[in-house]
Amino acid sequence: MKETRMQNVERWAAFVREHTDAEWSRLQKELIDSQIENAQQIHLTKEQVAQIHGSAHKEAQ
Amino acid sequence: MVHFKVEGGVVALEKEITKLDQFALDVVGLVQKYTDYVIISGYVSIFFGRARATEDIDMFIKNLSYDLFSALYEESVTKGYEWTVDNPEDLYFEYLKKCVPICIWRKAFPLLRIEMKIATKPSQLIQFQDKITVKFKGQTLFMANIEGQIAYKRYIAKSEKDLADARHLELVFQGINPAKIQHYRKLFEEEFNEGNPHAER
Repeated sequence: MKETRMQNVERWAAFVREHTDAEWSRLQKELIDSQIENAQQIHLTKEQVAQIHGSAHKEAQ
Repeated sequence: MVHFKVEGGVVALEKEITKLDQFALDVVGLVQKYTDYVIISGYVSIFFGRARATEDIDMFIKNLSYDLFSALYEESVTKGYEWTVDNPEDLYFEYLKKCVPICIWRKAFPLLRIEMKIATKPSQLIQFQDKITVKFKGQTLFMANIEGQIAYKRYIAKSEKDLADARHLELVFQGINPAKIQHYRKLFEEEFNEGNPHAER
């Protein structure tokens, strides 16, 4: 893994550690909710999603 | 400095509920009427603060009868969900009972889904015995224990995303037990690499 990416992960983890649940989760909620809202605008069908994932039968984990 | 801590098998926090969390809660609310579940993999890291989204929430479910699964299917469809295929018999006998995972999503939004499979292997079944109870904003979710997640992601999955997920959990949780991580590592490696090199979790 690139050092910079892991450094970013560690920097954000430090932020989570050093702030209240309300503080870090507000920022995380903005990130996650905006990504979901953007994805909802695309209106993909289940067939298109299956195609994106390569297979609808992907093994869990 | 805030750390998450598992005390008596329980983690309590006061995080904001994201759309991803709400989806998980909604589906779990259906599933747990019919069988036990435990959430695994990336969503565990995301729930505890990892700054990324996901399109899949993975979970193991305990074995259940066809009648129970059929009732789950019917209730979920009534409430606006869709599944991998629109036939509960196929879902149960051709997917779940053959250890193939199935997905459920809100109708018209298949991009965000929960993928579930019946736990059959020792490393999967132990997740139920060793799960953590997560309490937040009056809600409850059952998740795989943190050391097991770190072990799986760091030593088995090993993608860039998995390594980052493992590192995040290691940094935000207080009281991580290194010996337990190694115990899980051994369990996973024996099952996946040595005993059955083609095994899939």
